[in-house]
Order: sequence, then C-alpha cells, then structure tokens
Amino acid sequence: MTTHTLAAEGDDDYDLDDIDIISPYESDPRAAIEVFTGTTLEHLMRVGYAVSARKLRKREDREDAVQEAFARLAAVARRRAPARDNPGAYFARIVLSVIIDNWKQELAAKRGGGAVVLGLDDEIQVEDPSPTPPDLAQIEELRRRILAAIEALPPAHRAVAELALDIDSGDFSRVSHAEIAERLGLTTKTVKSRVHETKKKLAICLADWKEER
Amino acid sequence: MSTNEVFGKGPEAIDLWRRLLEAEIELEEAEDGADLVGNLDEVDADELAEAQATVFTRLGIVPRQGNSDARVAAFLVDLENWRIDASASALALARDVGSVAKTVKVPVPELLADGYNEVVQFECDLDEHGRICDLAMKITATGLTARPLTIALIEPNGIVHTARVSSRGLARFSGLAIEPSPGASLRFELCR
Repeated sequence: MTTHTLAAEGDDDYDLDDIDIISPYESDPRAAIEVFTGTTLEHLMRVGYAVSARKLRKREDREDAVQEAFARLAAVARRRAPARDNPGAYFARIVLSVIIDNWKQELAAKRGGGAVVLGLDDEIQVEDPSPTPPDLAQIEELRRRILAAIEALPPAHRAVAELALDIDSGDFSRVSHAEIAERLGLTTKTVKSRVHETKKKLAICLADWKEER
Repeated sequence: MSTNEVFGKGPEAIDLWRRLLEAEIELEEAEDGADLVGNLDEVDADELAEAQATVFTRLGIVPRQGNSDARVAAFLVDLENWRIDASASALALARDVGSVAKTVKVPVPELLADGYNEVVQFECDLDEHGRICDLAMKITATGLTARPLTIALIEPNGIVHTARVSSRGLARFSGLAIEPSPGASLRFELCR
C-alpha cells in the first residue's frame, strides 16, 4: 500500500472560483418543509417509508427514494404556496414519482446495453444482454400476447396506443400526449385516459406471464 | 430481436417493466394521493427510526434538539468539470447520470483494509465563506485518474465520509457538518 501526503500549495491551472459549497437549503430545511406542508418531517418520513416499503425490496433503495423525495419537496417548498390540504398524500405522490423515475432510468439502462449504477459496495456488473434460449421462447410468447392485447383494443384506443407505445422499449411516451391529441383530434385528457387503459391491459399481460413462469 | 429491446433483456427487465407500469397506473388512479399512503401502522418502527436518522443526516436536516448553528451542506463533486455543486439539482444530476447515489460512513482503516492499495491524502483549506479551496487542483495533483476511485472526506470531528467516484467523475457527499470558519481545513483521501 502506498500512502503519501501532498503539499498544500499547487499551481493555478484551474479556476478556483468554480469550486464552492452551497448549502442546498439556505434556511432551516426542517422549517421550510414543515411550514410548506403543515405537518412534521417525522410524519412525512413515515408516509414516505410506507410507500417505498410497498414498492422496493432493498432497504437502501427505500432510504434513497425517500431521501430524493425530500430533496424534491424542499425544492418545491421554496417556490410554491403551501400545500397543506393533505400533506401525507402530497408527499406519497412525490415518493411514488421518484420510484417510477428511478425504474424508468433503470429500464433505460438495461435497454441501453449495460449502463451501470454503482453504489459504494457494488462491483461493476454488466448484464448478459442475451437471454438464454428457453427464455427467448417464453419472451417471444409474451411479445405475441402483448401485440394481441393491443390488437384487441377498441379501434379508438388502439390508434392512441400505437402512437404512444414503443413496444420494443416499453416506453409509453414515444409520442407526447399533446401531439397524439393533435394528430387524432382528441383532447389530451382523452389521450391520457386511453393510454392509461392500455397500460392496464399490458400490466395484466405481464402479470399473467409472470404468474405462469 | 435486438438486444436494445426490453424483451431482449430478459425476464428481469420485463418484470421491471411490469412493476413500472403498475406503479404508473397506481399513481394515475390516485385521486389526491390519499390511496397511496396505505396503513402507516404497518411500517416497521425500528427500521423507520434508522432510515429516518440516515435520510435526515444525508439531507443535512439538523435534529430538533441538535446544534442548529452547524452549517450543514450536501454537495456533489464533479471531478471532470471541476465544480462542486450542492443544490438539489446536483442530487438529481447524480441520479441522472447513473452515478453514485449513496453516502456512507466508513472508518479509514476499514477502507484501507478493503482492498485499496493506494491512498493519497491531502488537505483543503476553507476560505472566509466556508468554501473549499483548491480541491480540484489537488485531486488532479494526486495523479489518480483511473476510475472507479473512492474519495473520502474527513471532517474536523473525525467523521469520515466516502463515496465512489464514477466513470463520469462524479461523487456525492451529503450530511456534512462544516463550520464556515476561516482557516479551518478538511482532509481528503483519494483511494484506489
């Protein structure tokens, strides 16, 4: 093992003005959040943990999700009027949004061919991109079922689904709701509703497939 | 079938897709979020207490009975662009680039025992505004450019924070209690 200590002085190759520490919460973050929500941080923590515990298996992931949700809440608390009607429900939505965003990112990383998220204790693991032959047959069957489920949608729903969903990537935002609405002469609310129904059909397909495996 | 397709990534990716869809459906169907809260009594009290301590510390939230004068900072060290950013957007950035998103406290001896074969120590002074001086320059001077690296920050009170520096050169520390006193210094170690 090599250990050495550097001298305190160095050259001036870098703009030191760019190096700074800025507190993310200039004022007391506890006060900012509690004034904004009208409830205690401890209550929000309990709500956030309840939501994340239902969705995430790993304890560290739960902590990270609630942490990120608090960071988002603190940012919002500085910009908006207080949201006190149902602060627990408000925070629950933030936590679930964080989890969804993280999963989207994770799915995108898996699609992208081996992007890796590292934690301190993690070793780099690059996934084998190729399913084993038995998996391939099962997966082809799932793909067939999903296509059939979309085919079975009422024509008005199918038109929306075909624009919104990139079936190969699992992404439901291939074309924005606003653009779909414009193309098909619908309201965005209708588009949103039809995308929602399609998601439910697909979720059932995926759950059934999992059940059968 | 392309390997860039969700199907081509196998059952694990498909299961993740299912969970994602179910969560999106749940969020979209929750009128005001009240349905999402669930039964709070089902939360494990011990686990919650520990998680609360961890999360609040990372976020720099000072305990109610704690020292409210402590300057608490969370920041992200961007080794490639020589910036240190402490905003919430920095935390989001760390997530967006798939970078390190955890801060843990590990005693230095354990760190050294954990397979690291080279450690460079250096100190950075704090200026009158509590800013860290010449950190990037000193990191460069260590000559440790390979990734991944682990960077450790040792607070004046002896608490050690470590974070893995990702291939994008990002590491995040949070929950640091740093007094912005002129002349104070922070000790860093860069390990591989």
